[in-house]
Amino acid sequence: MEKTLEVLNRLEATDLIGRYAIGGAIAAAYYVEPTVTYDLDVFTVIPGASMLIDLSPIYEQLKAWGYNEQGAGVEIEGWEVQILPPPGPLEEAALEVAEARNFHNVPTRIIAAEFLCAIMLKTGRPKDLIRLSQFLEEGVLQKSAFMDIIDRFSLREKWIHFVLRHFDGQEPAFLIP
Amino acid sequence: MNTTFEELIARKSAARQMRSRQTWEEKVQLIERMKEQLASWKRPSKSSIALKPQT
Repeated sequence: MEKTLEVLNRLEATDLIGRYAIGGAIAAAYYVEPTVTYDLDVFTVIPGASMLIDLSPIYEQLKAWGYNEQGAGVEIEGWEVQILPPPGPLEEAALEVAEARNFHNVPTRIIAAEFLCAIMLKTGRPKDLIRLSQFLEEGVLQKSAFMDIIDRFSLREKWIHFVLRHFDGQEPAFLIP
Repeated sequence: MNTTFEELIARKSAARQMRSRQTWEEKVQLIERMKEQLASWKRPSKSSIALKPQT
């Protein structure tokens, strides 16, 4: 995956994309037990984009470098990379505070655990809720940071519903109370 | 080798904790291996499992 990240760093240097950060299952694997995935989700701001987001300049640049469209993304060095402009304020905030990490000495960024879990709660697909349970069972979240995000982005109702349904109303484990 | 259900669950839980504690690089390598394995487990097409008429 390091070659894929090198290409993403090169893309960021062209200014066709803004700051990027890894989300999805690959970011989750940083914090908890890994699960199989076929794609690499990359959140990024598209400079100058308005309501209509045009990814074609990015795809054209990647094609010029020898990387072609595959499925819902672009195949870059063995990974199907999905370039995702943040769909709302929650994802925008997650991208702003994404944490710098190295992968085999290649610098990159990942979405923080608390934001990743808030995005899973918001999205609410069965696989997201399973992964959210995994974070809670493994006790890797900071409670105050997570609950702050829940309240800032109006996710309190979804959170209560999730705890009632998946934890029988009992408060799940957190790293720091 | 006889193993109780409880022992099996405890062993699985220990293996899970071990996987969680691996480095990000090790975990991604594991995902890459899982991807390769899954790619080789192709579902047989309908035509390949259809019964051939007896001659």
